[in-house]
Amino acid sequence: MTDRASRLLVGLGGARRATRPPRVRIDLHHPIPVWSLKVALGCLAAGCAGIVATGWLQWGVAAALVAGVVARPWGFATTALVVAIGVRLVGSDPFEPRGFALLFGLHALVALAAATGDLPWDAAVERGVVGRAARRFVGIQALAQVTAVTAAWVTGQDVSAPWLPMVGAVALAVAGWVGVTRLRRHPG
Amino acid sequence: MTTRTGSVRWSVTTFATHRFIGGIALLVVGLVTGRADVAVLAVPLLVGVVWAAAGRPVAHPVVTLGPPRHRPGSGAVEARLDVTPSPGVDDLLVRVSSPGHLPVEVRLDVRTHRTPVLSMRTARTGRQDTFRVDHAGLGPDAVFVAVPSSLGSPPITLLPRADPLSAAPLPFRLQGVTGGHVTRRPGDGGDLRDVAAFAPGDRLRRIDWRATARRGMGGGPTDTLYVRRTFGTADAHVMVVLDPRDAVGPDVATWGTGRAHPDQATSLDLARHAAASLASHYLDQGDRVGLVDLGRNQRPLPPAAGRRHLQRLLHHLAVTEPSGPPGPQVRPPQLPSGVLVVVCSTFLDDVPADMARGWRHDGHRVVAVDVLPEPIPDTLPPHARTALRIVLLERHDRLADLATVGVEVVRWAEGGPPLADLEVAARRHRRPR
Repeated sequence: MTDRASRLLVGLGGARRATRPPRVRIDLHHPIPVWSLKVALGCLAAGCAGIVATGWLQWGVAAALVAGVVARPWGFATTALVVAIGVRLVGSDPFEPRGFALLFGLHALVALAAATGDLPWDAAVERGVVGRAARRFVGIQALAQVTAVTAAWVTGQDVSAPWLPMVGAVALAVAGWVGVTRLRRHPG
Repeated sequence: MTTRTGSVRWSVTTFATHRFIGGIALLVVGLVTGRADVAVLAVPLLVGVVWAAAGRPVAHPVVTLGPPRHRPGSGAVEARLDVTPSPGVDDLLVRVSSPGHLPVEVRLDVRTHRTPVLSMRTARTGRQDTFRVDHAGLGPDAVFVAVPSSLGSPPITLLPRADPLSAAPLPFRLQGVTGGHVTRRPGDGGDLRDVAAFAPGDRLRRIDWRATARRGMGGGPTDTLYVRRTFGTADAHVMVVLDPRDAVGPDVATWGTGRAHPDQATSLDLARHAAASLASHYLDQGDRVGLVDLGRNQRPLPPAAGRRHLQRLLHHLAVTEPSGPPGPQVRPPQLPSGVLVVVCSTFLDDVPADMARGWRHDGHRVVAVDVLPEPIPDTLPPHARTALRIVLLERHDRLADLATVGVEVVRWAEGGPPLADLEVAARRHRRPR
């Protein structure tokens, strides 16, 4: 191709391609698409922020942080959202039920962010990765809830909800079971 | 096979650092403000990091990438990734890429021995680069991450497919005294040519006693013997001329980049397919096939016969690569006399057309196999569409000119061999006047 028209066609380096290139495949055990984990992360982050946020300014900051969490779960926004919600909690009454809910939700947010990582939207995570993160979450969450109930009792707060001691006992049992399982698996 | 073993450097992830700092911040805020419920929010952050830090990984999992293999039926190239677990390493971040393909990123659970299969689809033939795997191990709860490293699998050479053909054209002049084709010369074939008087050189077993008796009783000379003469057989000599200077796919937007979609056959892939199918057809009939590569300044592969020669041809076709911008040809390659010339080209420039015209002028029967895929101009800007139209019109004129000088033009599409075109060409045995 030597004429001008041919040179013009050869110079089409920046033209948009007609079809999308195919993707390399890798066979996985029960893959979970990252986009679904990111959607769950966004819902969780928005839900936690919605518990404490009031006013346009707080909602604006929360929206920015939620977007940051979804875009980069391992980024600064995840921890910043947790700390911001904690700081916002200072202005409310101590040991309200929503405090326990936030303890659960924020921990779930961090655990899910750890499992999702900074993978792109079209990536995948094996179910085993999320399952192990969930088991670790249950153990640590049980410990955290028991600590919260204990702290409420020690500080003389009125934790009048009758289900809390039961939840605490169950959580302690689960924490013990997880700990024993872990010790059995890694005796060293 | 590529392997990564041994100890690597592990570092704390920024996410773990953020969690630890955030936990400390919440703890301080809770203590300063006297709010235990705020301080308790730090528990999951800190406990998670500290718990995971206690199980710091030491060694990296042994990651091995096996050699690529081709599955001819599906057009897939596969390689096996082998991951041997290591204590303290829960997950493996893996990014698999291949030229022309979109990469895939996954997070593998590697607490047990894993052997996931990597695969990619390709419609291309010839030498293909395969997989590159970038990976990094992750400790528990994503607290520790290993320094990323890469593995690569070696390139693979995909031989062109040879489809069976029902018919193919023959040269004007068959050669030799034996072969699979009936000639117009008398010889030792099976088809009856005529009955003639016995002459020196005729074999005694060819005497037709019935014809001799009939002629004698009919008043003819009784001392003359008559023999049955048959047509001789011969084989065809075919030179396949491959023009590898263009490797353009259907997507015109990729013509300038040289990176056609791997799931779409380029003109070079079609040329290889056509050449392999035709060569296989002729060699199956006992003919002799040679190869001329217009992309290399080398002597042609001389015509030969047999299955081993077919394998040699297929390898030659597979290793043929686009040789950059087409350079000027000083003179066309010299071909043996009386061969059928099959030119597999896109005919986007004058070089193969001039050669085909010259070979036809020399008396060869020439078949031009047009291997340009149907262009898809959908994403082109208007001026490029106009340019494409000009290029295609010039090409059309070029092929029409070839037809006027007696070169038979056959189109070879991606779906398979153009049986109808080939059969029409095969029926034309006579030299055009």
